Amino acid sequence: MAPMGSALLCVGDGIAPGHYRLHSRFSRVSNFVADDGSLVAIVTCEVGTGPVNVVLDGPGDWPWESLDIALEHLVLHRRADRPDAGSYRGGPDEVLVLPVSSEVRRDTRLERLPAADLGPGALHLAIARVLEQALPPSLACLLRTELAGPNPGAKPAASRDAGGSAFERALAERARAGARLLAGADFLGCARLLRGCGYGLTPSGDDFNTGLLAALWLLEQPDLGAVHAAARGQNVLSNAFLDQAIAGRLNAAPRAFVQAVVHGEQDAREASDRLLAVGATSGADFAAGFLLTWRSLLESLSAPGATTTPSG
Amino acid sequence: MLVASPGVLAGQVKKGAYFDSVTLMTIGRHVQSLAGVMDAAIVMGTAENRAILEASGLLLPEFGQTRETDLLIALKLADASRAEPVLTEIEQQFQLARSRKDQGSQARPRSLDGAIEALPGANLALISVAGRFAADEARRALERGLHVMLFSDNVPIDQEIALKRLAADRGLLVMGPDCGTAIVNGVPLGFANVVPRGSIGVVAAAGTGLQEVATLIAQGGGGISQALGTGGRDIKAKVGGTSFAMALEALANDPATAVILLIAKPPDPPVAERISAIVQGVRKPVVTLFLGDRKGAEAGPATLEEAARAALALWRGEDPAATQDDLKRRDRDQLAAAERAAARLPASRRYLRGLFSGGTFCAEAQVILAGDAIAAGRGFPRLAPLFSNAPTQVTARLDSALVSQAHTVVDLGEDEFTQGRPHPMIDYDLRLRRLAAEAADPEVAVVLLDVVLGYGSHEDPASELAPAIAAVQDRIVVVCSVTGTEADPQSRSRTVRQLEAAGALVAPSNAAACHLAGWIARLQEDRP
Repeated sequence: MAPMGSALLCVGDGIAPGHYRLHSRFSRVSNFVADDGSLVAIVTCEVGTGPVNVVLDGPGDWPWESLDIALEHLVLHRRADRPDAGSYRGGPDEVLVLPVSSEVRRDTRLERLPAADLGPGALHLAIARVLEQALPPSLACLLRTELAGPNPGAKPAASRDAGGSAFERALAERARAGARLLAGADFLGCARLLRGCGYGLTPSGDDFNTGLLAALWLLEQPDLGAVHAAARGQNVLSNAFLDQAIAGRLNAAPRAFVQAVVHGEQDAREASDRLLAVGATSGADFAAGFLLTWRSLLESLSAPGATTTPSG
Repeated sequence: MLVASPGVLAGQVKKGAYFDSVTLMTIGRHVQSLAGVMDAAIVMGTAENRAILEASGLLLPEFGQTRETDLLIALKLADASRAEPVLTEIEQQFQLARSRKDQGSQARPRSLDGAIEALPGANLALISVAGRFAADEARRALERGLHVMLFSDNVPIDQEIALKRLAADRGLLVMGPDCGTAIVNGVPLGFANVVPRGSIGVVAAAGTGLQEVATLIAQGGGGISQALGTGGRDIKAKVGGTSFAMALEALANDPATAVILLIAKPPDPPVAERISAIVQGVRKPVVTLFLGDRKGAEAGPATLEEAARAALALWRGEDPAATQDDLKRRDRDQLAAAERAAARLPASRRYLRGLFSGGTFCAEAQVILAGDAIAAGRGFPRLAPLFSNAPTQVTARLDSALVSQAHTVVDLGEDEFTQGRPHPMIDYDLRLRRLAAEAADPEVAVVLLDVVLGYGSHEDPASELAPAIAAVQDRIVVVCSVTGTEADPQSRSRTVRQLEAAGALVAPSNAAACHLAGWIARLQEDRP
């Protein structure tokens, strides 16, 4: 178990004051959820900053069961119940009070690009890198052009009857259908179709939709709110990430990735690799959602008589 | 449209249990391979996943009120009595996954530095991480003075070149990237077999080729001093054969190595010249097999088996050419066996289909079945047209890897088959499905399979293959080779017995299996 007296390194800008109870615990991340579904994640430096992240020094494996967030401090408890108001009694083994100064607050919002500067940036480089490096169970395979590109109806040979369970085949078919909708700029339909689908604690479809929302936010798309509503389901973790994405806020790795792709930065490849290391497939699923949506948006913008234009 | 199939549904809801997506998928696939399991899915209980389960015919009534933090286990079983043992196995798999995680965080070093601290005398690092991290880890190992076996693939070629330059500057060897097997100081690494220590050293840019020659040498009474893999890309001109040359020179200078055996697909010409120049300076017998490259090697071996036998003969001080007489006698026996097998097939069945887990075996099959090994003076059958998804210079590329054409040999270890699933040496699911599909083709006479034993491979391949072979052996002939030794965890003789009991013809090597299966197809083709 980690030492109790961890130092506070930074706090995200999407955290709401309130009382939070432990939702799920991993070695580097402890997730806490409030009654209204708001999320706060206590994370190690390796995980890094994020809109709802509280980054503590140390190796993780924390014992905390609940968390109180106020404007100028946060309190971690070993007990799940809220302690007596104002009395954070007990030694550091039971309660840890950490002051939150302005120096530790972090802005996690994406930077929009002026309309005049819009272009493919590092899109193609990122697609190639993600396709090359993503773990196979992820939705990154949708980036293959024969699935979601110019000829979205076609399937690659290997996808036909490639084994797996009926669930896997049905899931893959649903994902392909979602990618086809995206290629046709039907963002709402795609989000609705992929919501909650897939393996893992945050299903692949939800991570994909978070990437989709981030791309829509960047171009201030009018249907952003409707897509967000369609993407939200019952999963509190997924919902928290979707709620932040609609405000243009992302965790460090996806944020760096999006910035690198959009701005055509030299380190897009490194940013892709960092993103793919997030979760088992979460980073790759996010990347697929963002890149497919971004590509679809750019194609819409470049089409003759395009009416979908960013306001920036 | 999904079609409902008969079966009994069973399952379980585990409240508040969560695992990452790769773990769930891996366990799900393992469960699918268990006896009596027709279908399986292990997923979190989101409403959408429940909808997909319903569409897949896997939704149980008790899943109706589950939450997204509940884990759903859905099984379709041939028989309700299988439910309990399968659920018990799943629970064991979950515990294994948890214990691996615990071990990872508590007992095992979490970094290269930690590993070096734990084992200060180590001089080799085996690196098996995602390709995107592999080169960095390898560089760190080299900078710490360690030789490297790089099991990972997907390492960019420029990084491979840079690593090998760094290693060469420091007098260190990099085996790989994509080096799946080696035996160093008697220790099997990666996919490798248990063979005796001995005096024959092997350098191979062909993974299953290394396993085949090492096990054949063991079966022939010899032993291995060192078996060093290099990864298939090392012999490309761009990389320059750096590791191959260094490994060859290391064996040339190794007092424990009396005979050197070199195995590879044909290197790019500058690399072949470089290797040839080094070989000319070696003061030990060297046997070279560049599979399919017969230029200037008329007297040399044409198959992995011939190469292993040549090395054994040289180790014993005998004439390697003499071993050909034994093989020719066996060829005659096999031709008689092929005639017996073909006699029970209808004339309409005439094609050969090879379903390989080893890329080198698939390449060797093409060399043999296309008749490219005829120069060795043996009676290999020639089949035409011959197709493959991994064609050599003598075969045509399949239109689709999933659909056989005429005579076909398929490498199931190619990327198109391994996306999203374990290697076919571990997971037999695809091969079993393809075997059933080939048997259902009224033009197929014989199916050729390689079975690779040893560490890393499936723990009991015969238990998977035997029922599948038994189910098709009344329609087609199944010919297998079994690469392994008695000391391997799976035991070669036990595996052979199980396969033969199921109706398979088991040959002593991949080359012999190709010879036997090839003649069955050829005899069928020649029938009026």
